[in-house]
Amino acid sequence: MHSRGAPQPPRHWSLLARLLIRGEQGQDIRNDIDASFGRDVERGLDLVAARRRYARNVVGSAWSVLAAGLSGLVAHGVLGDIRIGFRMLARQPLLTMVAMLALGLGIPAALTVHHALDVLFGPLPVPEGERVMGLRYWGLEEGRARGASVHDYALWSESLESFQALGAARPFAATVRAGDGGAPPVRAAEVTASTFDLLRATPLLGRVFSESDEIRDGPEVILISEELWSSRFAGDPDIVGRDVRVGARQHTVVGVMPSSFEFPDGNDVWLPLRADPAEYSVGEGPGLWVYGRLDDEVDAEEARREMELVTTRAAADDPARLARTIGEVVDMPVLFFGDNDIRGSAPIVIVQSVMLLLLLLVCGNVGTLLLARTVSRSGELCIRTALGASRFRIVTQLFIEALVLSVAATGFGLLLMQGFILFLTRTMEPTGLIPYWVDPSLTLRIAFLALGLAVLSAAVAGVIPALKATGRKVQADLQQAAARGASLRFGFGSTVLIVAEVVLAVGFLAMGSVLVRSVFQNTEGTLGFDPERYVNVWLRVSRPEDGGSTRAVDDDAFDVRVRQTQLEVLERLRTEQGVVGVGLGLHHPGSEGALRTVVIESPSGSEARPATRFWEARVGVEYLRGLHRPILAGRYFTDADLEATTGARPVIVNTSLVEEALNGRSAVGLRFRLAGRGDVAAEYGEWFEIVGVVGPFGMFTLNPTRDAGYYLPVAAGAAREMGYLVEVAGEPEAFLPRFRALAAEVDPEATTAGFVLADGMRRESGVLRGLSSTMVLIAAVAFLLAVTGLYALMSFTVSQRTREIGIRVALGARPSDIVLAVARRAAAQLSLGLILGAGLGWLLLGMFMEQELAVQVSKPMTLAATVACAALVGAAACLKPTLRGLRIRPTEALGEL
Amino acid sequence: MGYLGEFEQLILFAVLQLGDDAYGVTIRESIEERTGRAVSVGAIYTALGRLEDRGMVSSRKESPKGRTGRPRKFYTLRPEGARALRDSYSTIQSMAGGLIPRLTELAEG
Repeated sequence: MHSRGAPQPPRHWSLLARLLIRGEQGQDIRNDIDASFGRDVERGLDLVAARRRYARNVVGSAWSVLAAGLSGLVAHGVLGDIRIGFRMLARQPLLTMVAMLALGLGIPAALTVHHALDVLFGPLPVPEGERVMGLRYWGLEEGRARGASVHDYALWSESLESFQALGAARPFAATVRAGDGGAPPVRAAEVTASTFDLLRATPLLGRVFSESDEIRDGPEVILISEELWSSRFAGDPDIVGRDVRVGARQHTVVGVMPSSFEFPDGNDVWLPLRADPAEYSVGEGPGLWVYGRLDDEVDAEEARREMELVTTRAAADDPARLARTIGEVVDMPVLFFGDNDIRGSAPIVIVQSVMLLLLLLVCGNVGTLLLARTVSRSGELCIRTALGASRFRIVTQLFIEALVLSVAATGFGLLLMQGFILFLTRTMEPTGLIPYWVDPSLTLRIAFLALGLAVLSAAVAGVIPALKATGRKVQADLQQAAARGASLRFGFGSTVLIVAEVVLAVGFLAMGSVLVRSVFQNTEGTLGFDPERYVNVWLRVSRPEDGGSTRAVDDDAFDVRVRQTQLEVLERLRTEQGVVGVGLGLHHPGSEGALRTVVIESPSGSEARPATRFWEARVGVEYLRGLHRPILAGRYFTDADLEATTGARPVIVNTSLVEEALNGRSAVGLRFRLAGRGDVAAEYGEWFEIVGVVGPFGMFTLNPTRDAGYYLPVAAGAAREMGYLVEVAGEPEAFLPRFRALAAEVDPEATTAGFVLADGMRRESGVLRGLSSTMVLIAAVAFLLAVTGLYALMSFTVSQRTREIGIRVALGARPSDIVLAVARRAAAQLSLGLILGAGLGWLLLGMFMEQELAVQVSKPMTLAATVACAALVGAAACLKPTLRGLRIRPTEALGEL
Repeated sequence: MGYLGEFEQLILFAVLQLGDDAYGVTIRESIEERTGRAVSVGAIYTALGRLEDRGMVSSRKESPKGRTGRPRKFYTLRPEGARALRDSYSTIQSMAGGLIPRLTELAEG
């Protein structure tokens, strides 16, 4: 100690030392720092120098203590805590399972949107793909992107200096033939020669296009994909130089592109783009995708500014076309999707926020469970504190235990996410809806984000309860006497969480049960036909420009050709061996038409019934007869029906419509019309008159209970692409190549597509089943969380009130009083949750049952069953702790004092 | 044999040299005087803590000789520490054997 008047160390440094130098040796170190200062002064060191040495000593000591503490924590504490964390996982399997499921679903759910945007808007899979950008016009008035014309491409190529090179492409479907007539169509694209250089693409065999290939009337050349080369040409080593036919034209193969090259649209063949601006007036000609590689020294922002400038100048020359137009430089995926960039848009931000909020709710609930676990370990914590563990040390331990849980749950969740992605990819792949550049597998970035969320979840679910459980007052109470019970309570926060979970669980379970019934119901009995016997094939008659020529064609002549081709194919199908029935139309089972809101005329006259929604299928005149669908009342369509220009248009309705809208009474002769938006009379559409009734025939295959609809006759040639529904006697799969060959005989330029109806239906319902199963799983986890929350609450209440219950029993309380005392709060929470949950369920069911997909159920019955089920499980969760409460003997309870 | 870092060797030599008067302040002074290096009391204590865990020094709490004031933590070199220090020093010595003149020559350019 220093005597009064002796120099003192600097006060603020001394305070800092007290603040920073703590722990076991803190006092000894601080004493010695002070003593060092005193000795420095004693040996005559200048006071300023002594103080400076003191400050250095404080800083150096604080750093050493901190470093030693951290390394000690890593070397001993953390590893031990991790071990304890794993032991806790094994010791309480129920809690582990619930928390793992909850966090394992919550964390990936919070990342799903993020991941989807990441992969959909990722750069092209080419070297420095992020520097390849798309160029387009955005029309402010129409609020959408406009296809660039040949002139736009020429203008941008001349004026933009931000790009090393520009390229353009025009995708289309084509049929490639080399001897085999029955080949399915492939995706083709016309591309500029510059495309290959700017995408750094080199051929596997032969060469890519050069500028000389772009000259009109030059030799017809083609590049094919590695996949097409091996599947269609058996990997012929002499493929280069061989002739293949695309549509009606012969092309010479000049090269084979590696399988990694699928630009721009998952393509298999490429033709040179031969579009000369001189052949078109400004703004006319085929729509192009235009893209370019940024110059080395230029970033996307500079390119955007230049593009805006060039567009402003172009608009001054051509105000009629470009006055309210923006020239944009966008990421390539944005160009392909053709829409506004949805990243950062309000709906996406809302969905992401909701997902994060849900995760927070899940964390809160897992936190409640962990709090209950922590409280049950109060004895252990008490001993650790008595042995000198600081609050920081105990909170760290509890945090690490929660972290072990959340990291394990994240690992589980990522596996689940990967599985879900695989399932979706497999289901969606045949539909061709997944762009070729999308690789949906989990990225390292997502794994790191998930890990970040795991730490965050552990902080919410672990640290908050830990701080609560180690609060000063609680510690004091714990140290005084365990038997008196801790002062810790399940507060308002945990009540809100449990009630919220019950509400969500009941709501989602009610809806989930209907959803599951809707998508998993057995449809075979009610479809009205066997989808395994039908194939759905489509024929698209191509314009000559689709074969590599961009010259204009005579529209009328083309329409005639379309009609003739479609009818000729129909005729041939009728006589084809193994074909039982065939119908031509725009809509078929498995390729449903539109839902229309209609108002049926009442038998008494003009008074309209409430509007109802029905399916509308546009089919050929001979469709129903050709497919042998018996007419139950009235008549089939006739050619005269197509020509009816005055009066009501004839329609044939199905029996579902008759039952649903007319209660089964005679429909023939009745009229209905489309109700426009808002069902306003003035917006009513034209009249339809029912001329016939047929049985159910897959108007809506996803839910045959909601397939009320009508058929409207259309003529052949109504669209370039129409479908044939064919009933076959043999193996339906084997019919597909026969159809392709048959179509090729009629029109070599036509392209075809097709699937066995049952396969198409399975694909469609597979996605829905996956999504609904996920939803039901989430609902089940919410319910499990709520139930375990209740169990934890009850258990905790009984432990906490053991002494009180003992006294009550000693004073003669009846068992019913004890049950009331123990279960009152849990029962109140459960009841409130059930009531609010039933309300939510009512709303959700109401919204869901309006959808055509939903089976119709009785809302009160469904909700009553769900609530009863939830109440039963909730009560079961309360049973064990209640029984424990009833078994408390006064002597034992009071003996603990 | 336990590995000893340079700083730990300095501390053990200081403890050896100070005998019964080895505690934070005197060890620090001893190192500073002999090496000219400024070290903090905290660094000395954390290193001594490690050495004590490894059984190389032992500590006792008592008032400093001939002084009043708070009791201090005094350190004594244990046989394990002495062996480790001797071995570390011998290793350096045998490596340096005959090289010092050349080293000096090189260092002084």
